[in-house]
Formats: sequence, structure tokens, C-alpha cells
Amino acid sequence: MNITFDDPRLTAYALNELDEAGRSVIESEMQNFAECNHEVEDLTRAVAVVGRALASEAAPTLLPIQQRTIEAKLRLCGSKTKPSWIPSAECGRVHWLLKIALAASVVLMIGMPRYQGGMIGMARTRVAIISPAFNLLQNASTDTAYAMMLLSGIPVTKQGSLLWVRDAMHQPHAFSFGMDAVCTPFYSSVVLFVASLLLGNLYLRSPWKRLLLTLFVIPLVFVGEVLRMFTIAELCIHLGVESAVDSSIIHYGNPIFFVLSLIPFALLLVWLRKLEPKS
Amino acid sequence: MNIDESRRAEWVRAAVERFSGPLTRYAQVITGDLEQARDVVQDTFIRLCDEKPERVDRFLAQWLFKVCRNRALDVQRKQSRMKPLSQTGMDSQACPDPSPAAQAERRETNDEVLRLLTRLPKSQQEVVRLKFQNGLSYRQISEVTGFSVSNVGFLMHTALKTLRQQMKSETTMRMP
Repeated sequence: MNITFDDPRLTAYALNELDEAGRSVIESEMQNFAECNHEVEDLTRAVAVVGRALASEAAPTLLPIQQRTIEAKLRLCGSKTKPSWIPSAECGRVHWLLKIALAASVVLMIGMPRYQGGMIGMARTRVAIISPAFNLLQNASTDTAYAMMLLSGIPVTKQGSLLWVRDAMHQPHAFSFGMDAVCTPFYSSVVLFVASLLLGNLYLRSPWKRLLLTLFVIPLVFVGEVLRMFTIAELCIHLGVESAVDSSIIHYGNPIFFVLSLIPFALLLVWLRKLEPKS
Repeated sequence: MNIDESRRAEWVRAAVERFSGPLTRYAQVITGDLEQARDVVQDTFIRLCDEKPERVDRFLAQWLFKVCRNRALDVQRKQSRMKPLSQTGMDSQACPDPSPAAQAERRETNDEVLRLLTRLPKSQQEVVRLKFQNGLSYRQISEVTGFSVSNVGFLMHTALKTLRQQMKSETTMRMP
């Protein structure tokens, strides 16, 4: 193909946009068509003039507020960083686990039998069947409460998940802990668990802090349960089982212990929130 | 902030340092407004913050100019949709009251070639600016604008031909 004055390849040649093969073709054709050399020279001069003119044009810079916005975004990205101990694939998995756990908690709450009475000793094992993990936690709570009662001098014996105590009248009374939906703050624990997931997602950005908040519910439930059992045992010892059963701590105790457990939970949330970088 | 994040932050800062000027100038040509151009460039760098350096770094210039171009075109489209609603109409759009800063800026850039350049069609201005102001190759310009490489070559050729003709006809323009 013969080259002409009005060939874009000449411009590409002048702008050094051709590869070796392309340049060779143009140069060989220019040898046969000498006037193209003048055209290329003219083009090269025009390119230099245009290049100088455009280079002299001032480049406006960003305003300080826009630079600060970019910096803020960078800090935000840094705070979203996944912890080094979680590989990238694992991080996504943890996120999905949290969603599944949230959905499971909601289903569990809907499916839970409604609380209908406040009788000590009434065994309702559905809770334990639904959640073996919770059962394990309850057994551990019972063991810990048993140890605390022994240490504090309460006359107590343990048979399985039942704790036998002698009240003020030295009558043996048994009350079960752990297997009893009535005696366990199961609802409170589930609510706390769901709250930890929701609040973590709302107020915390890094996955490890959300995970920490959710995991904190486990020791919280454990300690709360131990304290609750210990308090009831103390009431039974000092007031007698009959009085203890009628006491407000039995009827309205769960909300009280739930509110108490919210204090360390809220403190942890505030602390983790303070650790979040400000954006 | 861990090492990766601090490295990424440095990478973004270096990109801001190097490209904020050229990008603002480029966006200004598309939007026709410096403040909007700055906002466009800010959005571009905010998007860069979400990108992984290893994914973008090899073609950072093309990526930045492409994102900036798309955003600027969005702004321009929105602006053109808003024009018919304006009470002042075309007259005020054609002759806006320039601020002192804009006047100073205009004086700096108001030389012969730049004035001739503004007479060119937008697409030709764009490829010329990307080539001469930002040092992009035909292929990189093609990636930024979405034109084919041969189309970029044709636009460049036509733009330079027109500029040369106009420069020759302009008595004030001195060709060495």
C-alpha cells in the first residue's frame, strides 16, 4: 500500500507509535516518496509545538478537603483489614458463619417453648435436646456453682445435674440446674447472642472485634448462670425453699441477671468501639 | 494498620501525588468545570483505595484515566439533563461569570495552541491531551477511551492536521 500525505501512519510514525516492522515499512516507502519526508518533518515540528503548549498548561491540584477525604478513606480501608491470623478465604467463611448463626438464633427463638411457670425442679429437657452445646455450658455452670457453694460452706451434694441442699430447717431439697428451661436464662442468652451479632455488625468494622464480642457471650452466660444458681442456693439456705420459691428473685430474677450481664457486654462493646479508628 | 495496608496507603498517596493534577485537568476538559473535575478526581482516588495494588498497579495510569473519564462523563450527562430546567438558559451557560481564580487560571492557559485545541471536536481534544499531556500511547488511550487503536490513530492524525492548518493560518502562531 502506497503512502500518501494524508496517511495516519505518518502521524503515528512522527509520534513514535509504530513498532519496528511498521517503522521499516514507512521508512522504505518514504524513500520512494521524498515529499513524505517533508511532511514528517512538518508533523514533528507541529508535535513539538503542541506538546510544549500542552505541557505549559497548569495542572490544577485537589483542594485540602478533598485530600483529607481520600486520607480518611485510606484510614477506613485500613481499619477494615482482616486480622492476619485469618486467611482471606477464612475471613469470608467467618462472615457467613455469623450470618448462619444469626438465622439459626432467630429460628431457635421462634421455636422455643414459651415460659409458663416458675417452678423449681420441673424438668424440661427440650432445651437441652435442641442445643447440646448449651447443655454442655449448663453442666459446666452447675459444676462451677457446686464448687462455689462448697467453698462458701453451703451444705450441698451433687447428683448428675441435680444439686441437693439443706435449707434453714435442715430439710434436704433438690433443685436442678442446667436441664431446666425455667431455671436457665436461655432466652436471655439467645437474645444476648443475637444482640452481639447485630451490634457487632452495626458498630464494629473489623471481623475479629465482631467475633470477640460474639464469643464474649459464652463466658458471660457462664458467669451469669453460676451467679444466679449461687444466689438461689443462698436464698434457699437462708430463707428456706418455700420462701425462696415465692421470692421475687425466682419470679423476676432472669431479667435482673440479664440486665446485669448487659453491663460487661456494653463495656466491652464501648471499648472495642473506641479501638476503631476514627474516619 | 498492618504492613500491607500501610504499603497500600503509600501506593495510593504516590498515585495522588503523581496523577491528581493530570486527572483534574483531564476531567476539567470533559466536565468543563474545575470544581466538578476535582470532585470527579476525588471519587476516582476513593475508588482506588478499594482496589488491590497488585491488580491495578501494572496499568495504573489507564485505570485512573478510565475511571476518571467514566465518572466525568456521568457528571456531564447529569449536568446536561439539568440544563433544560435552568431558568437562565443557554446565555448564562455560554458566558459564566469567571471568578478571579478562574480568570487567572484561564490567563495561564490562554495561549494560541490551547485556544486552537478547544476548537477541535471533544474526541480529538481528548486523544491529543492524553497523548501530549499524559504521555499515553495509542494502545493506552484506546484502553482509556474505548476507541479502537486505529480510531485513536485516525483521531490524532485528524487533530494534528487541523491544528497545523489553523496554526499556519494564524499569524500569531510562530512555527520554528
